[in-house]
Amino acid sequence: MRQKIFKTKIANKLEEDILVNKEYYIHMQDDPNWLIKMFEKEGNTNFEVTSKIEVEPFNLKIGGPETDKQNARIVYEHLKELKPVQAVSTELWTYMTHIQFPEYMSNRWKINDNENEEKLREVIKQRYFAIRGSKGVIRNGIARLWWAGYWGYDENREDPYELVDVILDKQEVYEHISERSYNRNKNILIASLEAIKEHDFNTREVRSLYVKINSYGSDKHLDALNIDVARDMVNELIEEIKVDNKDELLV
Amino acid sequence: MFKVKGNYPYPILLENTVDYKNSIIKARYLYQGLKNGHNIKIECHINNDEIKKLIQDKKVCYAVQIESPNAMYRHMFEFYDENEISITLKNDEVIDYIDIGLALLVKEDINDYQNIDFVDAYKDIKMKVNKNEVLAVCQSVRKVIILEDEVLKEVHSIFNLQKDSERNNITYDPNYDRILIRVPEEIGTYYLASKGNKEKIIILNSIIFTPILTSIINDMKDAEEEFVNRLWFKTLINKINEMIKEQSITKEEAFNNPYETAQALLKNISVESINGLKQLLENQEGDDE
Repeated sequence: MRQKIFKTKIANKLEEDILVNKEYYIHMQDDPNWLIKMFEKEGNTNFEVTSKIEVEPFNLKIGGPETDKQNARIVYEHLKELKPVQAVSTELWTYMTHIQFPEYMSNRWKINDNENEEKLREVIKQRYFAIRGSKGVIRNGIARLWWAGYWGYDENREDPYELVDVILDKQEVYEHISERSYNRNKNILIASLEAIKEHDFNTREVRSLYVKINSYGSDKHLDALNIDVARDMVNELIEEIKVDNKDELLV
Repeated sequence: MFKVKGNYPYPILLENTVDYKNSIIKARYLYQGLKNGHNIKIECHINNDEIKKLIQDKKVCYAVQIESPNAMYRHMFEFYDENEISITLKNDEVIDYIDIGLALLVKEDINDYQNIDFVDAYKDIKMKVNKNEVLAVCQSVRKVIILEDEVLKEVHSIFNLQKDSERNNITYDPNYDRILIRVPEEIGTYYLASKGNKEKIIILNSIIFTPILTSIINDMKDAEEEFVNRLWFKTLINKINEMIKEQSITKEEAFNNPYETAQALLKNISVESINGLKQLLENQEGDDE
């Protein structure tokens, strides 16, 4: 079947009305299908269009952060053919968070009441919408699962999702990858994720590795490194991190 | 992107003379939107024979980096022939805008790099420049993407033909996402029944759509603000821009001649339908005989 998406004007209007609809978002666990019901009540049957994306119907596991890895596999497996230019679409992800998977969203990304309306608006916008531009789309509750799949999926592995699990295992790994331009270089991504897994890096070590990769890029052009050279580079940097760790202990 | 202001520990060739006395690298970036993608051609000029020799010996290459941040796309392309620096990107790879950068990238370690044109500070000093380091770099440029194809939404006709039992003439209404054409019920039924017959449908399309499209193009000039958010408007503007490029005409020419533009957009359907009608009539006369 073809994936349905919001009409652009519906997605825009919904975003405009975030604060008008804030109570629905705050109490979404009680009534996850509020928007469908609202459309029905208004007699609005013209809120969606068919996209070019072929997809088999799928469901997500309901729960908290512990479901991320499994759900990333489900989302990416079903939407593997999606191109990045399509995966930055606000119409697609906003449709999924509001129409297709509202129950998942209400459990995984519960919106707490907040007196500060601007902050409340920002939180709803981040998780339920997908504002064009790299940072806007990667925080959407469903899109982030797809992007984790896109960055970490490696068909050359026995389990192609092994590195997707590493991305979602620690929130800071997802943040480092999603908010910096490493995510556009598969060789650096694979080499760094392999290292994080192998050495079971903690938050500080993850940050240190990516700072060192960044610094390495000031001398050498990172996009020119093939996977073997990228692995050598990461190993070299890990030795430096080990020395740093030792120095810290001595101090 | 390649760093123009990086702290390179060796002389770097730039667009102006800094580490070299007279040598520079210059780039001209040419962008062309294609029907199914984008073409980027880069003209590169270097006036230093020693560096040109390094490229010829494949120790150094032309490296073009293209980045489309909103599509999370970045890719580097390598070339050894300055005349072949041409890259085609698909519509589904990049979006909104792209940043393009050019550099000379070292492909194998150069142990005793010297250049006769080094400024005096580097004169007679032999440098080691390692593989994957940058020997020369140009300022990157940003090009806005002209998207010719819808990448996500399924593309429908810009027209929506509706039967109307209350009507005995044909009307159109552009105040919808697809231009709503109302036709008498009998004609609507005949149109739908004729869809499988190529000759018939060409004639009917010509009769129904050519005058409406002509009128719409005529209206578009002065009513852009009114229709700019309509899907039919976006699609039609893209198609007209495509036609302008293909036929090398100006936008004014396209809009000042709405009938010709409509015919071009409908792929000369009027002539095709008259020929088809002639054929049908001749066949009919033949049958009568």
